[in-house]
Amino acid sequence: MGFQVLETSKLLNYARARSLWIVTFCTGCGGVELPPTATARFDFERFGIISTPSIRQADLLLITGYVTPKTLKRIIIVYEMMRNPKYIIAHGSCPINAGIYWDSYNTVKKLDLYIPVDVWIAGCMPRPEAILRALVKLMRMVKEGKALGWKRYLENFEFYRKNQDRLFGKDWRKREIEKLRFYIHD
Amino acid sequence: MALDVIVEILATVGMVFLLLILGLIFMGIARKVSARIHRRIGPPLYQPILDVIKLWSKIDPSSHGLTFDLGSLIALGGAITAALLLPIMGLKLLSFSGDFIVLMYLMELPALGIMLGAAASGNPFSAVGVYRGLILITGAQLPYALAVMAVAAEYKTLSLTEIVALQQGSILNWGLFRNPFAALVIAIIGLALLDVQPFDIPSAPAEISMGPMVEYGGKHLALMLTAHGLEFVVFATMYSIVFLGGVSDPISFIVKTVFVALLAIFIMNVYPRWRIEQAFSYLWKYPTALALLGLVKAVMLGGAM
Repeated sequence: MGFQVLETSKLLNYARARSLWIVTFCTGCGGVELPPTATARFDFERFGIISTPSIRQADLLLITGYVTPKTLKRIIIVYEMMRNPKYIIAHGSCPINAGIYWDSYNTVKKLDLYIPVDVWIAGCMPRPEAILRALVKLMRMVKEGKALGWKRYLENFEFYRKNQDRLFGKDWRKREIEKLRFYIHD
Repeated sequence: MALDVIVEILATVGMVFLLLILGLIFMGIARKVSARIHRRIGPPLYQPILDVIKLWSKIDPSSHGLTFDLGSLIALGGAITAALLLPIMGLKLLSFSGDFIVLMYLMELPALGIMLGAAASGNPFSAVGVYRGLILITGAQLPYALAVMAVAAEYKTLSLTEIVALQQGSILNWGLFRNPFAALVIAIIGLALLDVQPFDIPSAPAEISMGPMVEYGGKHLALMLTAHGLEFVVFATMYSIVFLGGVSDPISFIVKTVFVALLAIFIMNVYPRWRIEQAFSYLWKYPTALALLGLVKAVMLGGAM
Protein backbone atom coordinates (compact mmCIF):
# COMPACT_ATOMS: atom_id res chain seq x y z
CA MET A 1 0.00 0.00 0.00
CA GLY A 2 1.85 3.09 -1.23
CA PHE A 3 1.66 6.51 0.31
CA GLN A 4 -0.60 8.90 -1.53
CA VAL A 5 -0.28 12.65 -1.59
CA LEU A 6 -3.42 14.61 -0.82
CA GLU A 7 -3.80 18.03 -2.38
CA THR A 8 -4.99 20.56 0.15
CA SER A 9 -6.18 24.10 -0.28
CA LYS A 10 -8.83 26.23 1.38
CA LEU A 11 -11.42 25.52 -1.32
CA LEU A 12 -10.76 21.75 -1.41
CA ASN A 13 -10.90 21.43 2.36
CA TYR A 14 -14.11 23.48 2.48
CA ALA A 15 -15.69 21.29 -0.21
CA ARG A 16 -14.60 18.12 1.62
CA ALA A 17 -16.04 19.42 4.89
CA ARG A 18 -19.36 20.49 3.35
CA SER A 19 -20.04 17.26 1.49
CA LEU A 20 -19.53 14.24 3.74
CA TRP A 21 -21.33 11.22 2.36
CA ILE A 22 -22.16 8.53 4.90
CA VAL A 23 -22.04 4.90 3.87
CA THR A 24 -25.34 3.21 4.82
CA PHE A 25 -23.95 0.55 7.15
CA CYS A 26 -25.05 0.09 10.74
CA THR A 27 -23.80 -2.13 13.52
CA GLY A 28 -25.59 -2.80 16.77
CA CYS A 29 -28.52 -0.68 17.87
CA GLY A 30 -27.33 2.87 17.11
CA GLY A 31 -28.81 2.86 13.63
CA VAL A 32 -32.22 3.82 15.01
CA GLU A 33 -30.90 7.29 15.87
CA LEU A 34 -29.91 8.03 12.26
CA PRO A 35 -33.39 8.37 10.66
CA PRO A 36 -34.34 11.15 13.14
CA THR A 37 -31.01 12.85 12.37
CA ALA A 38 -31.73 12.70 8.65
CA THR A 39 -35.42 13.68 8.63
CA ALA A 40 -37.33 16.89 9.19
CA ARG A 41 -36.50 17.58 12.84
CA PHE A 42 -32.71 17.58 12.66
CA ASP A 43 -32.01 17.30 8.89
CA PHE A 44 -28.30 16.70 8.38
CA GLU A 45 -28.63 17.38 4.65
CA ARG A 46 -28.42 21.12 5.40
CA PHE A 47 -24.70 20.49 6.06
CA GLY A 48 -24.40 18.67 2.73
CA ILE A 49 -24.37 15.27 4.44
CA ILE A 50 -26.27 12.51 2.64
CA SER A 51 -26.20 8.76 3.00
CA THR A 52 -25.16 6.78 -0.04
CA PRO A 53 -25.58 3.02 -0.45
CA SER A 54 -22.36 2.63 -2.44
CA ILE A 55 -19.12 2.22 -0.48
CA ARG A 56 -16.96 3.60 -3.30
CA GLN A 57 -18.75 6.96 -3.17
CA ALA A 58 -18.73 7.45 0.59
CA ASP A 59 -16.39 9.49 2.79
CA LEU A 60 -17.66 8.76 6.27
CA LEU A 61 -18.21 5.47 8.09
CA LEU A 62 -20.43 5.58 11.18
CA ILE A 63 -19.93 2.71 13.61
CA THR A 64 -23.23 2.70 15.45
CA GLY A 65 -23.05 0.28 18.34
CA TYR A 66 -21.22 -2.76 19.69
CA VAL A 67 -18.76 -4.50 17.40
CA THR A 68 -18.30 -8.26 17.38
CA PRO A 69 -15.26 -9.81 15.66
CA LYS A 70 -17.54 -11.02 12.85
CA THR A 71 -18.84 -7.46 12.26
CA LEU A 72 -15.34 -6.02 12.60
CA LYS A 73 -14.17 -8.06 9.60
CA ARG A 74 -16.92 -6.43 7.50
CA ILE A 75 -16.13 -2.99 8.93
CA ILE A 76 -12.46 -3.35 7.97
CA ILE A 77 -13.34 -4.56 4.46
CA VAL A 78 -15.80 -1.68 3.98
CA TYR A 79 -13.27 0.82 5.32
CA GLU A 80 -10.55 -0.41 2.98
CA MET A 81 -12.91 -0.23 -0.01
CA MET A 82 -13.68 3.45 0.64
CA ARG A 83 -11.58 5.98 -1.23
CA ASN A 84 -9.13 8.31 0.51
CA PRO A 85 -9.59 10.67 2.30
CA LYS A 86 -12.09 8.85 4.56
CA TYR A 87 -13.26 9.36 8.11
CA ILE A 88 -14.77 7.29 10.93
CA ILE A 89 -17.11 8.36 13.72
CA ALA A 90 -17.61 5.83 16.52
CA HIS A 91 -21.05 6.27 17.92
CA GLY A 92 -22.08 5.37 21.48
CA SER A 93 -20.18 3.92 24.43
CA CYS A 94 -19.92 0.38 23.00
CA PRO A 95 -17.12 1.14 20.50
CA ILE A 96 -15.24 3.11 23.20
CA ASN A 97 -14.99 0.40 25.87
CA ALA A 98 -17.71 -2.15 24.97
CA GLY A 99 -20.25 -0.36 27.25
CA ILE A 100 -22.66 -2.79 28.91
CA TYR A 101 -20.91 -5.65 27.10
CA TRP A 102 -17.70 -4.97 29.05
CA ASP A 103 -17.38 -8.61 30.17
CA SER A 104 -18.64 -10.26 26.98
CA TYR A 105 -16.30 -12.80 25.39
CA ASN A 106 -17.44 -11.83 21.90
CA THR A 107 -17.27 -8.01 21.84
CA VAL A 108 -14.36 -5.87 20.68
CA LYS A 109 -13.31 -3.72 23.63
CA LYS A 110 -10.92 -1.23 22.00
CA LEU A 111 -11.96 -0.35 18.48
CA ASP A 112 -9.00 1.89 17.71
CA LEU A 113 -6.60 -1.03 17.89
CA TYR A 114 -8.11 -2.25 14.60
CA ILE A 115 -9.19 0.85 12.65
CA PRO A 116 -8.44 4.57 13.14
CA VAL A 117 -11.33 6.58 14.60
CA ASP A 118 -11.56 10.35 14.08
CA VAL A 119 -14.39 11.38 16.43
CA TRP A 120 -15.95 9.52 19.37
CA ILE A 121 -19.47 10.12 20.71
CA ALA A 122 -20.10 9.05 24.30
CA GLY A 123 -23.51 7.96 25.60
CA CYS A 124 -25.95 5.11 25.43
CA MET A 125 -27.79 6.00 23.21
CA PRO A 126 -26.38 9.28 21.92
CA ARG A 127 -29.33 11.45 20.89
CA PRO A 128 -29.47 13.11 17.43
CA GLU A 129 -28.16 16.34 18.98
CA ALA A 130 -24.99 14.51 20.02
CA ILE A 131 -24.59 12.96 16.56
CA LEU A 132 -25.02 16.37 14.92
CA ARG A 133 -22.44 17.82 17.29
CA ALA A 134 -19.98 15.08 16.35
CA LEU A 135 -20.67 15.66 12.64
CA VAL A 136 -20.08 19.40 13.01
CA LYS A 137 -16.88 18.71 14.94
CA LEU A 138 -15.69 16.37 12.18
CA MET A 139 -16.56 19.03 9.59
CA ARG A 140 -14.43 21.54 11.47
CA MET A 141 -11.56 19.06 11.67
CA VAL A 142 -11.77 18.31 7.95
CA LYS A 143 -11.85 22.02 7.17
CA GLU A 144 -8.68 22.56 9.19
CA GLY A 145 -7.07 19.44 7.71
CA LYS A 146 -6.87 17.68 11.09
CA ALA A 147 -9.02 14.60 10.38
CA LEU A 148 -6.10 12.35 9.42
CA GLY A 149 -7.32 8.91 10.49
CA TRP A 150 -6.93 7.57 6.93
CA LYS A 151 -3.29 8.72 6.94
CA ARG A 152 -2.64 7.05 10.30
CA TYR A 153 -4.05 3.83 8.84
CA LEU A 154 -1.70 3.99 5.85
CA GLU A 155 1.36 4.91 7.91
CA ASN A 156 0.79 2.40 10.73
CA PHE A 157 -0.71 -0.36 8.59
CA GLU A 158 1.64 -3.00 10.07
CA PHE A 159 0.40 -2.17 13.59
CA TYR A 160 -3.29 -2.38 12.65
CA ARG A 161 -2.69 -5.52 10.58
CA LYS A 162 -0.88 -7.25 13.45
CA ASN A 163 -3.80 -6.55 15.79
CA GLN A 164 -6.34 -7.70 13.20
CA ASP A 165 -4.40 -10.92 12.55
CA ARG A 166 -4.18 -11.62 16.28
CA LEU A 167 -7.97 -11.35 16.59
CA PHE A 168 -9.07 -13.15 13.41
CA GLY A 169 -6.15 -15.46 12.74
CA LYS A 170 -3.74 -15.23 9.84
CA ASP A 171 -5.04 -15.19 6.21
CA TRP A 172 -8.49 -13.97 7.28
CA ARG A 173 -8.65 -11.69 4.23
CA LYS A 174 -8.20 -14.66 1.89
CA ARG A 175 -10.93 -16.60 3.68
CA GLU A 176 -13.33 -13.63 3.38
CA ILE A 177 -12.63 -13.36 -0.36
CA GLU A 178 -13.32 -17.09 -0.76
CA LYS A 179 -16.79 -16.54 0.76
CA LEU A 180 -17.54 -13.86 -1.85
CA ARG A 181 -16.08 -15.83 -4.78
CA PHE A 182 -19.54 -16.86 -5.97
CA TYR A 183 -20.60 -13.23 -6.51
CA ILE A 184 -17.49 -12.02 -8.30
CA HIS A 185 -17.56 -12.47 -12.07
CA ASP A 186 -14.64 -11.03 -13.97
CA MET B 1 -12.47 35.33 -41.04
CA ALA B 2 -10.06 34.17 -38.33
CA LEU B 3 -11.80 36.49 -35.87
CA ASP B 4 -15.15 34.87 -36.60
CA VAL B 5 -13.74 31.42 -35.87
CA ILE B 6 -12.20 32.59 -32.58
CA VAL B 7 -15.48 34.23 -31.51
CA GLU B 8 -17.36 31.06 -32.38
CA ILE B 9 -14.96 28.87 -30.37
CA LEU B 10 -15.18 31.23 -27.39
CA ALA B 11 -18.99 31.25 -27.59
CA THR B 12 -19.05 27.45 -27.69
CA VAL B 13 -16.72 27.04 -24.71
CA GLY B 14 -18.57 29.70 -22.74
CA MET B 15 -21.92 28.11 -23.50
CA VAL B 16 -20.73 24.65 -22.45
CA PHE B 17 -19.27 26.03 -19.21
CA LEU B 18 -22.47 27.97 -18.45
CA LEU B 19 -24.63 24.93 -19.10
CA LEU B 20 -22.42 22.67 -16.94
CA ILE B 21 -22.73 25.08 -14.00
CA LEU B 22 -26.45 25.47 -14.69
CA GLY B 23 -26.88 21.69 -14.67
CA LEU B 24 -25.29 21.44 -11.22
CA ILE B 25 -27.47 24.33 -9.97
CA PHE B 26 -30.53 22.49 -11.33
CA MET B 27 -29.58 19.45 -9.26
CA GLY B 28 -29.24 21.79 -6.30
CA ILE B 29 -32.74 23.12 -6.99
CA ALA B 30 -33.99 19.52 -7.12
CA ARG B 31 -32.44 18.73 -3.73
CA LYS B 32 -33.63 21.97 -2.13
CA VAL B 33 -37.22 21.66 -3.41
CA SER B 34 -37.35 17.98 -2.39
CA ALA B 35 -36.14 18.98 1.07
CA ARG B 36 -38.84 21.66 1.34
CA ILE B 37 -41.46 19.10 0.26
CA HIS B 38 -40.21 16.84 3.09
CA ARG B 39 -40.39 19.89 5.42
CA ARG B 40 -36.64 19.95 5.84
CA ILE B 41 -34.32 22.92 5.38
CA GLY B 42 -32.20 21.25 2.73
CA PRO B 43 -28.75 21.95 1.33
CA PRO B 44 -27.78 25.24 -0.34
CA LEU B 45 -28.34 25.57 -4.11
CA TYR B 46 -24.59 25.30 -4.83
CA GLN B 47 -24.29 21.99 -2.94
CA PRO B 48 -23.74 19.81 -6.10
CA ILE B 49 -20.83 22.09 -7.09
CA LEU B 50 -19.19 21.39 -3.73
CA ASP B 51 -19.90 17.68 -4.21
CA VAL B 52 -18.20 17.71 -7.61
CA ILE B 53 -15.17 19.60 -6.23
CA LYS B 54 -14.91 17.08 -3.39
CA LEU B 55 -15.20 14.11 -5.73
CA TRP B 56 -12.47 15.55 -7.97
CA SER B 57 -10.20 15.95 -4.94
CA LYS B 58 -10.44 12.30 -3.86
CA ILE B 59 -7.46 10.02 -4.29
CA ASP B 60 -8.51 7.23 -6.63
CA PRO B 61 -6.75 3.94 -5.92
CA SER B 62 -7.70 2.17 -9.12
CA SER B 63 -10.09 1.85 -12.00
CA HIS B 64 -11.51 -1.26 -13.61
CA GLY B 65 -9.92 -0.87 -17.03
CA LEU B 66 -10.26 1.33 -20.09
CA THR B 67 -13.97 0.68 -20.78
CA PHE B 68 -14.78 1.61 -17.19
CA ASP B 69 -13.01 4.97 -17.61
CA LEU B 70 -14.52 5.60 -21.04
CA GLY B 71 -18.07 5.04 -19.75
CA SER B 72 -18.17 8.25 -17.74
CA LEU B 73 -16.42 10.20 -20.53
CA ILE B 74 -18.97 9.00 -23.09
CA ALA B 75 -21.76 10.08 -20.73
CA LEU B 76 -20.37 13.61 -20.41
CA GLY B 77 -19.45 13.85 -24.10
CA GLY B 78 -22.93 12.80 -25.21
CA ALA B 79 -24.55 15.35 -22.91
CA ILE B 80 -22.24 18.18 -24.13
CA THR B 81 -22.86 17.35 -27.81
CA ALA B 82 -26.60 17.30 -27.17
CA ALA B 83 -26.32 20.70 -25.45
CA LEU B 84 -24.50 22.20 -28.44
CA LEU B 85 -27.32 21.18 -30.81
CA LEU B 86 -29.84 23.37 -29.00
CA PRO B 87 -30.57 26.87 -30.31
CA ILE B 88 -30.34 28.79 -27.01
CA MET B 89 -30.70 32.59 -26.82
CA GLY B 90 -30.20 33.12 -30.57
CA LEU B 91 -26.96 31.11 -30.56
CA LYS B 92 -26.93 28.35 -33.22
CA LEU B 93 -23.77 26.35 -32.63
CA LEU B 94 -24.32 22.97 -34.32
CA SER B 95 -27.82 23.53 -35.73
CA PHE B 96 -28.72 21.91 -39.04
CA SER B 97 -31.92 20.66 -40.67
CA GLY B 98 -32.81 17.47 -38.81
CA ASP B 99 -31.14 18.23 -35.49
CA PHE B 100 -34.25 17.24 -33.54
CA ILE B 101 -33.83 13.57 -34.43
CA VAL B 102 -30.07 13.66 -33.67
CA LEU B 103 -30.85 15.29 -30.33
CA MET B 104 -33.36 12.56 -29.54
CA TYR B 105 -30.64 9.91 -29.89
CA LEU B 106 -27.90 11.92 -28.18
CA MET B 107 -30.12 12.30 -25.11
CA GLU B 108 -29.88 8.54 -24.59
CA LEU B 109 -26.09 8.47 -24.86
CA PRO B 110 -25.39 9.39 -21.19
CA ALA B 111 -27.41 6.42 -19.93
CA LEU B 112 -25.75 4.10 -22.46
CA GLY B 113 -22.26 5.36 -21.55
CA ILE B 114 -22.85 4.73 -17.87
CA MET B 115 -24.12 1.24 -18.66
CA LEU B 116 -21.11 0.48 -20.86
CA GLY B 117 -18.74 1.42 -18.05
CA ALA B 118 -20.82 -0.37 -15.43
CA ALA B 119 -20.85 -3.60 -17.39
CA ALA B 120 -17.02 -3.53 -17.33
CA SER B 121 -16.87 -3.19 -13.53
CA GLY B 122 -17.93 -6.77 -12.82
CA ASN B 123 -20.15 -5.93 -9.86
CA PRO B 124 -23.39 -7.96 -9.64
CA PHE B 125 -25.41 -4.87 -8.65
CA SER B 126 -24.10 -3.11 -11.76
CA ALA B 127 -25.14 -6.06 -13.91
CA VAL B 128 -28.68 -5.97 -12.51
CA GLY B 129 -28.82 -2.20 -12.99
CA VAL B 130 -27.61 -2.43 -16.59
CA TYR B 131 -30.20 -5.05 -17.47
CA ARG B 132 -32.97 -2.96 -15.89
CA GLY B 133 -31.76 0.18 -17.66
CA LEU B 134 -31.70 -1.49 -21.07
CA ILE B 135 -35.24 -2.81 -20.57
CA LEU B 136 -36.40 0.68 -19.56
CA ILE B 137 -34.80 2.25 -22.65
CA THR B 138 -36.48 -0.39 -24.84
CA GLY B 139 -39.81 0.47 -23.24
CA ALA B 140 -39.31 4.20 -23.72
CA GLN B 141 -38.16 4.00 -27.36
CA LEU B 142 -41.54 3.24 -28.96
CA PRO B 143 -43.64 6.09 -27.50
CA TYR B 144 -40.67 8.45 -27.79
CA ALA B 145 -40.22 7.77 -31.51
CA LEU B 146 -43.98 8.06 -32.12
CA ALA B 147 -44.13 11.39 -30.27
CA VAL B 148 -41.16 12.74 -32.24
CA MET B 149 -42.93 11.68 -35.45
CA ALA B 150 -46.06 13.48 -34.28
CA VAL B 151 -44.07 16.67 -33.67
CA ALA B 152 -42.40 16.36 -37.06
CA ALA B 153 -45.76 15.87 -38.79
CA GLU B 154 -47.23 18.80 -36.88
CA TYR B 155 -44.57 21.30 -37.96
CA LYS B 156 -43.55 19.51 -41.18
CA THR B 157 -39.88 19.98 -40.24
CA LEU B 158 -37.22 18.38 -38.07
CA SER B 159 -35.11 21.50 -37.52
CA LEU B 160 -35.31 22.99 -34.03
CA THR B 161 -34.71 26.51 -35.36
CA GLU B 162 -37.69 26.23 -37.73
CA ILE B 163 -39.84 24.71 -34.98
CA VAL B 164 -39.12 27.80 -32.84
CA ALA B 165 -39.91 30.12 -35.77
CA LEU B 166 -43.26 28.38 -36.37
CA GLN B 167 -44.32 28.93 -32.75
CA GLN B 168 -43.90 32.70 -32.71
CA GLY B 169 -46.83 35.10 -32.62
CA SER B 170 -49.53 33.96 -30.25
CA ILE B 171 -49.22 31.81 -27.15
CA LEU B 172 -51.71 29.44 -28.80
CA ASN B 173 -49.07 28.67 -31.43
CA TRP B 174 -46.98 26.86 -28.80
CA GLY B 175 -46.48 23.15 -29.34
CA LEU B 176 -48.15 22.51 -26.00
CA PHE B 177 -51.50 23.75 -27.41
CA ARG B 178 -51.01 22.60 -31.00
CA ASN B 179 -50.33 19.00 -30.06
CA PRO B 180 -50.96 18.37 -26.34
CA PHE B 181 -50.69 14.59 -26.77
CA ALA B 182 -47.08 14.69 -27.95
CA ALA B 183 -46.23 17.23 -25.22
CA LEU B 184 -47.61 14.91 -22.52
CA VAL B 185 -45.82 11.85 -23.93
CA ILE B 186 -42.43 13.55 -24.15
CA ALA B 187 -42.87 14.82 -20.56
CA ILE B 188 -43.44 11.24 -19.37
CA ILE B 189 -40.56 9.86 -21.43
CA GLY B 190 -38.33 12.61 -20.02
CA LEU B 191 -38.78 11.15 -16.54
CA ALA B 192 -37.59 7.78 -17.84
CA LEU B 193 -34.61 9.32 -19.67
CA LEU B 194 -33.55 11.38 -16.66
CA ASP B 195 -33.72 8.32 -14.39
CA VAL B 196 -35.99 9.96 -11.78
CA GLN B 197 -38.91 8.51 -9.88
CA PRO B 198 -41.15 6.72 -10.75
CA PHE B 199 -38.67 5.52 -13.39
CA ASP B 200 -35.47 5.38 -11.29
CA ILE B 201 -35.48 1.59 -11.58
CA PRO B 202 -31.90 1.27 -12.98
CA SER B 203 -30.30 3.10 -10.04
CA ALA B 204 -32.68 2.09 -7.27
CA PRO B 205 -30.63 3.22 -4.24
CA ALA B 206 -32.43 1.12 -1.66
CA GLU B 207 -32.46 -2.22 -3.49
CA ILE B 208 -29.43 -2.47 -5.79
CA SER B 209 -27.35 0.37 -4.22
CA MET B 210 -27.17 2.85 -7.12
CA GLY B 211 -27.16 0.09 -9.77
CA PRO B 212 -24.69 0.92 -12.56
CA MET B 213 -22.96 3.60 -10.47
CA VAL B 214 -22.06 1.29 -7.56
CA GLU B 215 -18.38 0.91 -8.50
CA TYR B 216 -17.97 4.53 -9.57
CA GLY B 217 -16.49 6.93 -7.07
CA GLY B 218 -14.18 9.91 -7.07
CA LYS B 219 -13.44 11.50 -10.43
CA HIS B 220 -15.61 9.10 -12.44
CA LEU B 221 -18.60 9.96 -10.29
CA ALA B 222 -17.84 13.68 -10.62
CA LEU B 223 -18.02 13.34 -14.41
CA MET B 224 -21.27 11.39 -14.12
CA LEU B 225 -22.89 13.91 -11.78
CA THR B 226 -21.96 16.70 -14.19
CA ALA B 227 -23.33 14.70 -17.13
CA HIS B 228 -26.56 14.00 -15.25
CA GLY B 229 -27.08 17.66 -14.39
CA LEU B 230 -26.35 18.66 -17.98
CA GLU B 231 -28.83 16.08 -19.23
CA PHE B 232 -31.44 17.61 -16.94
CA VAL B 233 -30.83 21.07 -18.45
CA VAL B 234 -30.73 19.71 -22.02
CA PHE B 235 -34.06 17.98 -21.57
CA ALA B 236 -35.70 21.03 -19.98
CA THR B 237 -34.36 23.27 -22.77
CA MET B 238 -35.44 20.83 -25.49
CA TYR B 239 -38.93 20.72 -24.02
CA SER B 240 -39.10 24.52 -23.82
CA ILE B 241 -37.93 24.83 -27.44
CA VAL B 242 -40.30 22.26 -28.92
CA PHE B 243 -43.41 22.85 -26.83
CA LEU B 244 -43.11 26.15 -24.95
CA GLY B 245 -42.26 28.56 -27.76
CA GLY B 246 -38.46 28.58 -27.72
CA VAL B 247 -35.83 30.19 -25.52
CA SER B 248 -34.78 33.33 -27.41
CA ASP B 249 -33.78 35.55 -24.46
CA PRO B 250 -32.15 34.81 -21.05
CA ILE B 251 -35.33 35.50 -19.05
CA SER B 252 -37.53 33.09 -21.01
CA PHE B 253 -34.67 30.53 -20.95
CA ILE B 254 -34.44 30.59 -17.15
CA VAL B 255 -38.21 30.81 -16.52
CA LYS B 256 -39.20 28.04 -18.94
CA THR B 257 -36.44 25.56 -18.09
CA VAL B 258 -36.92 26.02 -14.33
CA PHE B 259 -40.67 25.53 -14.83
CA VAL B 260 -40.11 22.23 -16.65
CA ALA B 261 -37.56 21.11 -14.05
CA LEU B 262 -39.92 21.96 -11.17
CA LEU B 263 -42.68 19.85 -12.75
CA ALA B 264 -40.25 16.90 -12.91
CA ILE B 265 -39.16 17.49 -9.30
CA PHE B 266 -42.76 17.56 -8.01
CA ILE B 267 -43.63 14.33 -9.85
CA MET B 268 -40.40 12.76 -8.59
CA ASN B 269 -41.30 13.51 -4.97
CA VAL B 270 -44.90 12.33 -5.14
CA TYR B 271 -44.65 8.99 -6.92
CA PRO B 272 -42.87 5.93 -5.56
CA ARG B 273 -40.70 3.68 -7.69
CA TRP B 274 -42.29 1.17 -10.04
CA ARG B 275 -41.14 -2.37 -10.60
CA ILE B 276 -39.53 -2.91 -13.97
CA GLU B 277 -42.45 -4.82 -15.51
CA GLN B 278 -44.95 -2.21 -14.24
CA ALA B 279 -42.94 0.57 -15.87
CA PHE B 280 -42.56 -1.39 -19.10
CA SER B 281 -46.25 -2.25 -19.45
CA TYR B 282 -47.19 1.35 -18.55
CA LEU B 283 -44.84 2.76 -21.19
CA TRP B 284 -46.18 0.50 -23.92
CA LYS B 285 -49.84 1.16 -23.01
CA TYR B 286 -50.74 4.77 -22.15
CA PRO B 287 -47.88 6.90 -23.58
CA THR B 288 -47.90 4.79 -26.77
CA ALA B 289 -51.67 5.22 -27.17
CA LEU B 290 -51.37 8.97 -26.51
CA ALA B 291 -48.50 9.28 -28.98
CA LEU B 292 -50.55 7.47 -31.64
CA LEU B 293 -53.42 9.90 -30.96
CA GLY B 294 -51.01 12.79 -31.34
CA LEU B 295 -49.71 11.35 -34.61
CA VAL B 296 -53.26 10.93 -35.95
CA LYS B 297 -54.12 14.50 -34.91
CA ALA B 298 -50.99 15.88 -36.57
CA VAL B 299 -51.57 13.99 -39.83
CA MET B 300 -55.34 14.62 -40.06
CA LEU B 301 -55.40 18.28 -39.03
CA GLY B 302 -51.88 19.15 -40.21
CA GLY B 303 -50.21 22.33 -39.05
CA ALA B 304 -53.49 24.25 -39.24
CA MET B 305 -54.86 25.34 -35.87
